[in-house]
Amino acid sequence: MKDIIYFDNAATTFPKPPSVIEEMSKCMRESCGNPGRGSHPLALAASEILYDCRETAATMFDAESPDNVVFVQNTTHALNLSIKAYIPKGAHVLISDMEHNAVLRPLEEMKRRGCITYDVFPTQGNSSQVLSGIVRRIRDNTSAVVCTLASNICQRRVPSGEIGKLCRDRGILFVADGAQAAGHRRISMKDEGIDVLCVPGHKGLFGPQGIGMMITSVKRLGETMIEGGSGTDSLSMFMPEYLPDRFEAGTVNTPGVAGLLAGMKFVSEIRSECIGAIEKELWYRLYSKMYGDRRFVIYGDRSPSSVVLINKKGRTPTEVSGFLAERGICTRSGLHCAPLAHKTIGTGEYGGVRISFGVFNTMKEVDILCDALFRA
Amino acid sequence: MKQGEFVIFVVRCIYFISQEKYIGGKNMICVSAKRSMNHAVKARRVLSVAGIPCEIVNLDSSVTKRGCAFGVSFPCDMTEKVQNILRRYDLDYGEIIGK
Repeated sequence: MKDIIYFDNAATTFPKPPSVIEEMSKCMRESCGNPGRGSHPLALAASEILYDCRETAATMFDAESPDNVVFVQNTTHALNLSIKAYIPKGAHVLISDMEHNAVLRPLEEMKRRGCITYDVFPTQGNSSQVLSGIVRRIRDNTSAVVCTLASNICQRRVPSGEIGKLCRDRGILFVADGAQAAGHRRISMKDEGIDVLCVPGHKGLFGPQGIGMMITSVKRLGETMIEGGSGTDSLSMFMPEYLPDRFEAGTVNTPGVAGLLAGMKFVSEIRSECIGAIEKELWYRLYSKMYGDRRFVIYGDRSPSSVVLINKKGRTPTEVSGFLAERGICTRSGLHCAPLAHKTIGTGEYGGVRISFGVFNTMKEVDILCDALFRA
Repeated sequence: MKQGEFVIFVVRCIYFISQEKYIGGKNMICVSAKRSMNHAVKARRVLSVAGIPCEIVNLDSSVTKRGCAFGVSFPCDMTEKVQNILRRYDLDYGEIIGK
């Protein structure tokens, strides 16, 4: 493979830490029995890996217990599960104007079936403006706020702590999409009042693709989305009434969990705050080189983060991204599965070129990117 | 009985005797860890930290009446201590089998 400069970390982080690859390989070689499906050594070794990962995640995200950590395929799966498990028929839901299709599509589908209604609140402005936008839209039957903690197309973040407090005061469920926040900053479910946190394994937590987590603190029993073997209570016709088994039908992706565990240990060693600081330095480098250049438009708030959305005047995002790809520079163009968010920031027609930094990027790589952008 | 058959017979006897502890033998009992493997792992860990020799075992569906389940086996004479520890960690110790 020719030299690659990777700026598509918001899609999936690359490269992965060597420990992630090693642990996945070790799991496949030494301990890949079916977790929770027997008490022979390999099944037990796999079960121990799952428990270690739940425990690490519960600590990292300040969840109540390892039992509350449910393994799923990805954030989309986690969000679908949260929405379908905990939002009752006839409810009203609030979402932000920066949502990904992983939130928008399940809600729109439920709306089409006559199960729920939803409204969109704006994220532009300071915390109190965002909060008042939510309060104005709350109805008697509003049962949940579902929103992203950090946008996947630009720097915008929501005041999650204030939203969580508002939801808690009013008895509204707060479901947080942590796809772009997990690993980039510290997330505390308790401090931020998050009832359900949905996170991917393969982005900021540096795990492999195909594994994610729904971390729930909801006390009531949720509706299941998938039913099947759980390894326990097999004489019952229904899924177990306890976590995490209730939501984990079928065999869990044990090698994926092993990789996710190693990824979370990597993040814990470096600390999310330090990862965020490195990404901000890279952002400053890019911004200082491009600021004031009238050939480019940089979207979103002027606050540093791991994601930057740009467009070059006279060129489509696909042309720019394609030009970069020919030179081994990986970015992502288009709508990033978030047409609502693009509409919100005014790029609804073509989208933009997303540059997303990771902890393995260097200043030199940012310089090469900027030089290529100037020539694109 | 031929010599080969006798050897197989002895090996099988040893095997069944060694397995007795898993089904509620004289020296061991099982603690139902609320049927979930996740709870069983948690129980095994807190008991191990407390110095109690224990291991995760499969529980027969005829024992649980609910289908497959898991338990943590430990010496019978430590039952009270085990119950106290599991209670302290908010772990339901369920039905004690083999007492």
